[in-house]
Amino acid sequence: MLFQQILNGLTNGSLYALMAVGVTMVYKSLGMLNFAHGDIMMIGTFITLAFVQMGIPYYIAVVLGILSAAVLGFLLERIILRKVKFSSFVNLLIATVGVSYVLRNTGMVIWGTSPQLFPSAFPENLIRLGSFTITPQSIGIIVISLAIITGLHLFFTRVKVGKCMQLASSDPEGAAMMGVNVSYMRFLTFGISASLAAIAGIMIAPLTYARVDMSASIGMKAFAAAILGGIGNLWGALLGGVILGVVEAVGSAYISTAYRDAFSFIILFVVLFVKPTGLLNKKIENKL
Amino acid sequence: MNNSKKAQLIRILPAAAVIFLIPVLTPNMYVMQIVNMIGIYIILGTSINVLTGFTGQLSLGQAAFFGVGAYTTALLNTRAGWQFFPCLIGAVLMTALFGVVLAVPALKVKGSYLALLTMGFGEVVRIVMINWTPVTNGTAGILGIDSPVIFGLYIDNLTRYYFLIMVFVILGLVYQNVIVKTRTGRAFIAIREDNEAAELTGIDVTSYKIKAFVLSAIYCGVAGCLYAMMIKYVSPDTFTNNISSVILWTAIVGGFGTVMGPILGGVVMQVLPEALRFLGDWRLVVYGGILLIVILRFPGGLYPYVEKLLHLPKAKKAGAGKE
Amino acid sequence: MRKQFTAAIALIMAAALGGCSPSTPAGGETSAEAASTTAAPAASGEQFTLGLICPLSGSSAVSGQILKNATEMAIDEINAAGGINGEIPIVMAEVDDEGVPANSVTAMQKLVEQDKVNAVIGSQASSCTLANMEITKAAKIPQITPASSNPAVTESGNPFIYQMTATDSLHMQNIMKYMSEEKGAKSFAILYESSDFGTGGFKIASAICADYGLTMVDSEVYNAGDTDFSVVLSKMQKAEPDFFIFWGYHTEVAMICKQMKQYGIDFPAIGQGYNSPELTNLGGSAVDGVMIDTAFDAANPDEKVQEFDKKYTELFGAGYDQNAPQSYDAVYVIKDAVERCIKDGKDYRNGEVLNSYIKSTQWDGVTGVTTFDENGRMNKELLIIQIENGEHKIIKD
Repeated sequence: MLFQQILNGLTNGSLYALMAVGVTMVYKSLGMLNFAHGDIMMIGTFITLAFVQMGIPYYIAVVLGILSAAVLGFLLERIILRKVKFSSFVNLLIATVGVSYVLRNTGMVIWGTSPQLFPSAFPENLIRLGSFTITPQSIGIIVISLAIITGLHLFFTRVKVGKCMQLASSDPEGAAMMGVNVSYMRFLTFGISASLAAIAGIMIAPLTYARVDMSASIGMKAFAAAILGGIGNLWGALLGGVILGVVEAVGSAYISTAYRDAFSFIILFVVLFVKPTGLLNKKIENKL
Repeated sequence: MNNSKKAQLIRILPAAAVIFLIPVLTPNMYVMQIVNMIGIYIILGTSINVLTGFTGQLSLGQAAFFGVGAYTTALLNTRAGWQFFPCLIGAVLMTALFGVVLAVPALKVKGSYLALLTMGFGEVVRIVMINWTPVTNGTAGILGIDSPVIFGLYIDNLTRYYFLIMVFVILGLVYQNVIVKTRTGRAFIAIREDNEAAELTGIDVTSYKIKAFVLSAIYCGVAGCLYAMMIKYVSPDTFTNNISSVILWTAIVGGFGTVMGPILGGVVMQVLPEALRFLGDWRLVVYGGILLIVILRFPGGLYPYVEKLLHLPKAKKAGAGKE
Repeated sequence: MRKQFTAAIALIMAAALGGCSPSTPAGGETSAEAASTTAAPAASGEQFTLGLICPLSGSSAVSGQILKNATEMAIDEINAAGGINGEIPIVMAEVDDEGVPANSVTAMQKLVEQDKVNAVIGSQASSCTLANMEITKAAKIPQITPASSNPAVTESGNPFIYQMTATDSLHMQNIMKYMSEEKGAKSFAILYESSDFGTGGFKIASAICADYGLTMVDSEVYNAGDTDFSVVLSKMQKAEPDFFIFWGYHTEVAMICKQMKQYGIDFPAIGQGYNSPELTNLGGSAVDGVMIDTAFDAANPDEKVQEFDKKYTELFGAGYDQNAPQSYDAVYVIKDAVERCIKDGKDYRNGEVLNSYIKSTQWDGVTGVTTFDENGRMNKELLIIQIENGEHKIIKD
C-alpha cells in the first residue's frame, strides 16, 4: 500500500517537477512567478487536442501544440511583461494573474467547460509487478520528465546558448557586456518554459482528461514545488515536485482524501518557515 | 482655524449629500445591491491597501479572511443566535487571530514567495470550509442568517443596509486615513520602501508587519460580517482565489497606497462586470482584458489620473509655487 | 488630505451612480434582445415575463447553456401557439450568475427589480439557488429550480421555491429499494464527491439505509477534479460490499469506472448525478454495466420523451442531461398555472396567487407527471437505467 502510493505520487510528482522547471526558469529571468504558467499548459494541451481532432497525426499535433505554447510564451513576454518591466513588482505579478484569468476564460468560451478525452501515446493496460500496479502512461511520464530535466541541465551547463541563457537571467548587465543578446535569451527562456508546460499538459491529459480548469490545481502545485525545492535550481524543482507528489499520495491514503490539496501547502508553509529559501537554494547561489 | 473648519464643512457637506442621495436616486434594488457590494469591496480594497499598498506585503489570500469573517458571523448568528454587534466583534477577533496565523510564516518571506504562501493559505482555508462539515456544513454552506437589528431598528432592506455599510466604509476609510499619519503608518511605509533600512532605523519590523496583517484581516472580517448579514447565506465557493485576485485588483485599479484608491477600485470592479452583461459568454474575458489594460496603462492605478483631471487648476498652482 | 478625502468620496459616489445608471438601459436592452429572439411582444402589451437565472459564463457554463436551451425551446413552442392561454406571449429575461452565489444574488435582483419578472426558473448550482431564493421570497415571486437537488433548498420553509428535480433523498430511496428488494443486496460502500451534492447523498444514505435492511460497510470521499482513485477503490474493495453507490458527476465517475476496470475491481455500481451523454464518451467500455437513477432518460419509448429528444437534438445538436427536460417542463408548469389562474378569473401577476396555483400543479410533461409536496418538492416515479455497450437501457420504471 505505502509503496504503491509512493509510486502513484512519483507520477504526479514528476509532472509537477516538469512544470516547476519552467516556473523556475522564468523566475530567474523575471524575478517573479509567472502565474499564467498553468494556463499556458492548458492552452497548449487544448491546441494539441484541436489538431488531433482535425485529423492531424498524433505526434505532429503534439509538436504543433508545443510550438503554439512556445509562441504564447513569447507573446506573453513581448506584449505584456515587457510593458510592465519598469513598473512595480506587484503590478508585474498581478499582470500575470490577469493573463491567467483572461486565458482561462477564453479557453472556457472556445472549448467549453466539460472535460474532453485526450489520446495517449501509451497503451492502456496495466503493468503488474507483484502486488503493485502501474500504468504505461505513468512510466512514460516519469521517464520523459526525468529525461527532459536531465537534458535541460546539460543544455544549461554544456551548451553555449544554454550557458548564455543562464547568464542573461542571472546577470543581464554582465551578459550584455559580453555580447550576449539578452532580450533574445529572455525570449528563448519564455519559449522553453511554455513548451515544458505544454509537454506536461499533454502527458497528464490522458489520465485526467483535458479540461480548462486543469491549470488551477496543477499550476499552483508547480509553484509550490519550485519554491519548495529552492527556486532557480533544476534539481530543486525535481525534488520539490517529487516531495509534493508523494506527500499528496501518501497523505490522501493515510489521512484524508478530501484534504489532499491542503497537504502540499501545509508542507510548503513548514518548509518556508524552517528554510525560507527553499530546500536546495543556498547551494546553487554559491555555485553561480 | 475657523476658516479651515468652514472649508472642511464645504467639502464634507456635498459628500454627505451624495451619500444620502444615492439611495433616493437609485432606481431599484438591483442597483442598490451593486452599490452595497461596492461598499463591501471598498472595505476589502482598504484591507489590501493597508497590507500591500502601505506596508508592501503582497497577499493573494484575502478571500480567506473575508470568508472567516463571514463564516464566524454566520455561525454565531445561526447557532448561538447572536445579534449584529456581538457577531461583528466575534468576526473581528477571529480574523485577527487568522491574521496572526498567516503573519508568522509570512514574516520570513517576501515577493513571489509571499504571494504563493498567501494564495496557499487561502486554498487551505477554503478546503477546510468545504470539508469540516460538522462546523461549516460543507459546500452546502450556512443558510438562514438573520437581518441585523440595531438599537431596535430592523435592517431588513437594502436601503437600510446601505447606511449600515456606509457607516463602516467611512469608519474604515477615516481610520486608514488616520493611521497612515501616525507612527504606525510611517513605520508601514518605511517597511514597504526598504525593509532592511527600516530595521536599521530601529523600527520593530516584525511587530509592525504582524500589525499590518492583523489590521488587514480585521478589515476583511468586518466586510465578511456585513456580507454574511446582507446575503444571508455563506458557502465556500464565494471565497475562492479568484475573489482574492479581485480584492487585489480593487486596490491596484484604484491606486495602491492612495487613501482614496479603494473607493475608485471598488466602483470599477463591481460596476464593470454588470455593465458588460451584454457581452454574453465573452463577458469575463473582456473584463479580464480591461483590467489588464488598466494595469499596463495606469501602473499607479486610476485615482492619480482622476485626481489630476479634477484638481487640474490646483495641481498647476502647486507646481507653479514650487518653481 | 481630508479635503481630498471628502471630495473623493463625493466624486466616487457620484461615479458609482453614473456608472450604475448606464448599465440600467444596457441591461434592459439585453432582455429585450433576448425577448425578440423568442417572441414578438404582443401588441396589446400584455405579456408574461419569465426570468431565467443560470451560469452562462465561468466553469459551469455548459450546464447553464443546457437549461437555457430547453427553456427557450419551451417558450418558443408556447409563443408559436399564441402564448399562454393563446394570447399572452412569454418574454424571457435571462441573467448569468456565473455559478457564484454572491453574483447570483445580484443577478436575481436584476431579474426581480429591473426585468420585473412574474416567475423565475433557476438556478443550476444548489449554492446559488440557496443564496438567491431569499430575493424571490421577499419579492413574493415563484421560483422553480430545475437543477438544484440539495434538499436544503425546499427544507428551509420558503413557500416560493419549487424543486423540479428529484431530490437526492428521492433518488437514494429508489436506489436502496431496488437494490435490496430486487437484487437482494445486504451491504454497500458509497463513494461520493466532497460537494454539497455528494455529502448530501452520503448523509441521506447513512440515515435511511437501515430502513431497507442495508448496512454501509465503507464510505469514501473525493474532491471534484481528483484523478487518482486507486486508494479509495482499494479500501472499498477490502470492505467487501454487495454493491457500490456513486454520488458524483460524470467526469469523475467515468474515471472511477476506468480505474476499477484497470485494477480488476468488479462490483455492481449504481448512483446518481452522472447521467450525461459525456459519461459514455469519457468512460468508453469501462462504464458498461453501471446503473443510474434518473427522472428522465431518452431511452424511454414514451412518445413525449422521443419527441423532446428529437427536437432538442435537432435544434441544439449537442447532448443534454436531465436538467433539460426538467427546465422544459418547468416552463409548462408555469404556463399551466397561469392558465388555471386566468380560468378562475384571478390575477396571475400577483405572485402569491400564481404561487398558490403552482403549488397545486399536476402536469403531465416529458418527465412524467409532476406534482409538488407541501414544501415545493417534486414527487415523481424514478427510473433506473443501465449502460449496455454504450447505450442506455431502462431496467426499472
